[in-house]
Amino acid sequence: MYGCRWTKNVERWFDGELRDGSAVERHVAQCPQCRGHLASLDVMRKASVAGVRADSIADAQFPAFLAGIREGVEAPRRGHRRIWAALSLTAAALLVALSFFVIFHEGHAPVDATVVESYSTGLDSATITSYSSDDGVTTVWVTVSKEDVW
Amino acid sequence: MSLTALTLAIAALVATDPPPPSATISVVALRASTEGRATTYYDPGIEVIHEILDDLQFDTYRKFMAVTVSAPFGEVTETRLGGGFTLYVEPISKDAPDCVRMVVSLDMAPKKPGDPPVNVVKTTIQARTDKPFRMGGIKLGKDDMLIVMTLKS
Repeated sequence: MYGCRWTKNVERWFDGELRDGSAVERHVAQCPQCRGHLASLDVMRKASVAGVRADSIADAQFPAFLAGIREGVEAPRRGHRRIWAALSLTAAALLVALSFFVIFHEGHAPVDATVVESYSTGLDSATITSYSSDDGVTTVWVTVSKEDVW
Repeated sequence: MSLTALTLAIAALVATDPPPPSATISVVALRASTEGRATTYYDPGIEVIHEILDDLQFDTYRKFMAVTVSAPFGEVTETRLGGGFTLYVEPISKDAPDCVRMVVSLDMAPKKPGDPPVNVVKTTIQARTDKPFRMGGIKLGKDDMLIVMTLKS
């Protein structure tokens, strides 16, 4: 990154790893590259220190800080309770309505044609058949064994 | 609105409607015969229902009687068709907006005076609006009588 071979030593000196930094100090005084590198290292160090600094709470602010926490914990939740109650009531009402609908309308499905439930005849020699066509015409047909019963 | 009030309101909405005062039924009685025609003959006025009769083997259909019956629910309505036949219709319930459950009965006059009428056929049906219901095989001399009933409302 930097062309000067002293770069590593400059960084170690900057970090305080060298016992005797006088030689590096003299070199930096003469080398513009290393002076620039040293300046950038200093900027980065100051920036990192500022970034990790935690906000401290002063003793005078502490009661107010705790009061804020207590208020958040103890204060009742507002706003959504009524909405949830209304939604629950609506859901319950819909369930009740659905139950009524099923009870009152069970078995009343519409039919596609007239349906014959039962049939009978008082003629001794007659039989009855029932059928429906695809056109929706339903028939009850009486069949007699004698040609002219009446 | 309380849950009880809301439930009652919904129940009132979905509750079965009371049946109408009467059912209206179109009744057409036909004399059907086979006369060896090349083309099936229909009396004037009944050709409009030829589709209902297409599957039958007769080639001649003459109008015996056509009437619109208004039959009150829970009551037996009597219609004399002629030829000694009497049709009875008793609407029982309206099971759906387009479906009426009813008892249909056809009696014929007795051969001997003083004898009770003879029941030719008695059937319970779920009639659907504009879906024809036929009763056939009823002997009328050498011919057959067909009865076509259609629930109108």
